[in-house]
Amino acid sequence: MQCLKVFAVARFEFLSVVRRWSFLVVTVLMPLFLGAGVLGVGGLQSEAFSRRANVATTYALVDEGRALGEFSQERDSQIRFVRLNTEREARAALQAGSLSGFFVLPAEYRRDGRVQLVMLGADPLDELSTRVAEERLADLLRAQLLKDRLEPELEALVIHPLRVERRTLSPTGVSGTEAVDSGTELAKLAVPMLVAFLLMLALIGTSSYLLQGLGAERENKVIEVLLACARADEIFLGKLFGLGAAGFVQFAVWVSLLLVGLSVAVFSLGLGAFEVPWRALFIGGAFVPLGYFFIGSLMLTTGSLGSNVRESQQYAMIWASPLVLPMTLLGSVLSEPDGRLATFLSWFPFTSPVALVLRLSLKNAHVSLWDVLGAAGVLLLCTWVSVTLGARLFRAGLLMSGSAFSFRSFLKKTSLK
Amino acid sequence: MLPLLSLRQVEKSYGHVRALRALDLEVMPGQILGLLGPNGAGKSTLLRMIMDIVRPDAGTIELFGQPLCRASLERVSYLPEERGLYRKQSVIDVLVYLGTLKGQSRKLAAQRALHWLERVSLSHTANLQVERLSKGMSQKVQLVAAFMGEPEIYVLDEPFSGLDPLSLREVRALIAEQRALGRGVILSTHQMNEVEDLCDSIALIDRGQLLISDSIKNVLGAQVSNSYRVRCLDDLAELPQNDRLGPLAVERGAAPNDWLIIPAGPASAHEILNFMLGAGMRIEAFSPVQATLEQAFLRTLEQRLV
Repeated sequence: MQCLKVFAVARFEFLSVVRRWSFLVVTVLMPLFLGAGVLGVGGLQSEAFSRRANVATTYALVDEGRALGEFSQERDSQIRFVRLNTEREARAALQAGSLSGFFVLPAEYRRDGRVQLVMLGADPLDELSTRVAEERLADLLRAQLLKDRLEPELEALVIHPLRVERRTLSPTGVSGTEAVDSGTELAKLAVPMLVAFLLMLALIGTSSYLLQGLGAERENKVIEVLLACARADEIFLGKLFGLGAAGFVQFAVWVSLLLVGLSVAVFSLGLGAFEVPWRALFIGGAFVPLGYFFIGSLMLTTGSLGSNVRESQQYAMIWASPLVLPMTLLGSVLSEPDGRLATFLSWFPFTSPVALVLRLSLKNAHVSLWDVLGAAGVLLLCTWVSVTLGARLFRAGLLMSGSAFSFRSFLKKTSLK
Repeated sequence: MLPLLSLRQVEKSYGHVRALRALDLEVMPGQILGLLGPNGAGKSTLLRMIMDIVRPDAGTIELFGQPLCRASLERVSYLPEERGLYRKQSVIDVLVYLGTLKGQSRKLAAQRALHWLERVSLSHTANLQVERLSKGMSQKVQLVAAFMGEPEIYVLDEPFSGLDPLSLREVRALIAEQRALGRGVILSTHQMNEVEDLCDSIALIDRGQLLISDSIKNVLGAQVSNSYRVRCLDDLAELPQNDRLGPLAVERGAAPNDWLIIPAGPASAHEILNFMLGAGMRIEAFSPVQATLEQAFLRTLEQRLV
């Protein structure tokens, strides 16, 4: 094999892709549009939620059975109760929009505890505040039912038997009681998820360029000129390197923009110190090229069997589906980052780049060196096999140009038979 | 002298279709071999086989006296039948890329590309995108890619298709120039006049079988002419029929006193001339009409069908 020819193909493919307008648009503008979209939609949503939160928290109490005595509103409570004398009054207030709902405590409440809640239709967005209102009303009723029957401390404990104080324990055994900043935690979680998502997008995007180029070369027979000038494995590797480099550039730009964007967002929203998951990024940086070579070589090989661009893409998409597996199983990976499923996904060559980046970014995941080296070994071995075999099958696939796919003739052309 | 290219008993089948049958061919240095045959005869398969794009089922292919290998293919330039270039790239970028794939440095490839573009009057297109070229221009750019390699043998599939008469003359001259430099050329074409003017020898194949493999001179010489050009001061249309010679068709030529005699039977030139003189015709000139390559081609294929 001549490295100079591999380099020549790689250089040409790289420049062909990075000079395309579509590549520049996707690489630079897409994350900006996406960021603007997320911020815009997020802002509108949060405004809508806060507006709703201000108006949707007043409930009326119609106490027909005099079950409730005097009660005081909690100062920081999101739920406010107003007492109304009749159901008719409450109904009118609800229809006028000044209430989210009202509770009717009938005269026989003390006999069976039955309470009616009346609302305007079933709105899923009101579900959370309704539950809080029910709990709050239960507290009030408990307090009334226990009044003067227990010691004040015991009474308070019966009404609120659970006050959870969260503590954290690090792998080295150091414990802490620091308050958990949900915003910062969310940002930390967003980084691995977004990095994994971008990685998946870059892998699929680059492979798609790979197939488009190959399909076009087959259609217009440029591939014959190339095969007359260089060996199939030189072309195969050159394409992988060139387009891989383009994909890596795209991924690097995306991750940089993501980190900058998140840092700005975290600092501007005052969410405290923002930790970049460097370990995940460094190790992920080594897994990305390996993963690309593995998936790319499989896609290129199967893509060479199609007789046109569309057919090639259809064949090759078989390999793209396992890439999204870690994202579809995100819940399981996040809840049990050291569980069997997450570990399996880290070792499984199709999913290991995405799954490992995800796990390495999670604070509560304990990814051992053995895990990383083992997954890298498996991926390396699979990549070597797929590239070696792929280069051989690639030529056979190309030479079947124009004819219907036949496994027998395919094997014959690969000289495996 | 060692042949640049030799094929011995080469066979190739696609399923039940035999694309090539026991084919023998040779191309010597300074020789242009025209590969002829009807559509689907196996010409392109043969050329692809020489370039190792398709592998033979049987037989041997030797380049420069050695079995076909990647190293020997570095000394061969190929122009495929179906033209394809990277449409979004500039002409010079594509040519430099193809040059580097042939082992040239980028600098050398660029120099050669510009030189050959000038030779085919396309210097002005160097920085144009390929998609902006006309069909004929694209064809010439592909030929430039082949010439840039400065190989010892050219394998050209339909090199004249899509060219205007001026470009055709340019390309023909370039190919002839390569022959003068001692390089071998094997070209496939349907343009018989080009083959007749340019090639030293032809190989006619049909349904994978080699029907003729000889020099142009021999091929044309072997063709029995079946018509005669006559200059006669008398009106040959009044020539009586002769039962022994069979019916003689008489047509007027382009010039006055020029005639064309086409015997339907197997009458010889000698018998026809004697008969005309015996009939009192004043004959000034009598010569058999030279058969063309096209006639030879058609006659051979017709005989095969019979």
